Amino acid sequence: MKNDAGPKAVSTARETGSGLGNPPAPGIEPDLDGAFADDGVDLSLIRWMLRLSPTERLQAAQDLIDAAWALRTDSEA
Amino acid sequence: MQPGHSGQIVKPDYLELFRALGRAGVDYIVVGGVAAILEGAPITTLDLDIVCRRDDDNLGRLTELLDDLEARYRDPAGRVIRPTPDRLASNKINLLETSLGPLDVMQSVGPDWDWADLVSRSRILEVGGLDLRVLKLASVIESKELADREKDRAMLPVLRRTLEEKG
Repeated sequence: MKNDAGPKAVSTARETGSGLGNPPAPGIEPDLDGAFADDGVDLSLIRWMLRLSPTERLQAAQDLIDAAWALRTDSEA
Repeated sequence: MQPGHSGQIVKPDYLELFRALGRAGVDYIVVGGVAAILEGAPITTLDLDIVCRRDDDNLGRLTELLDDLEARYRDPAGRVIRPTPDRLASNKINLLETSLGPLDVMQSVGPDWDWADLVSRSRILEVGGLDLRVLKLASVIESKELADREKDRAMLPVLRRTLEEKG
């Protein structure tokens, strides 16, 4: 009996639109059309970067380095 | 952390490095990966590549700054070799470690573009309150195509797509 309860509960959550397993509401699905170039380059990332100012672009690169260094420091501790 | 000690790379601080170069009055152009980032390419890099104007006064100012930043060549054998105006002028590429991170001082990029060529292929970008002269993305691409190293070839698709998206 207990084994049947789990899947049933998830299914119910999906049917009612509640919980983590619910499908997205119509109209808000991410549109991946044109997000990638033929060679696999992520155009959405390029477009995001191009919307930033040069200062913000440098900050984004610096943030990545800072995060990598923090991870390295944590792993060495 | 002192630069180069125990072979560890010091974390780059790009903006502080730009500020230090500006305070020292060094004439330079940002090239390479950081130029591509400033132009909008979503890539990462650890070193700042610059080309400096090659007159005695400018190389003197650069050397003084590098001394302040405790710069030394990134020497695989671990020797402490300090940059001097002569070394900076004679070495085609100077791979340096500084207290603000790796700094590569190049004589030129591309097909041996001289200072005037590089100026004409660059633009001024405002970054953190500083006016930086930055090699345009099309010329960064051209320089990396000519360098033809594995790491450059890996980066080229993203750079080319970024240039296309810039329009």
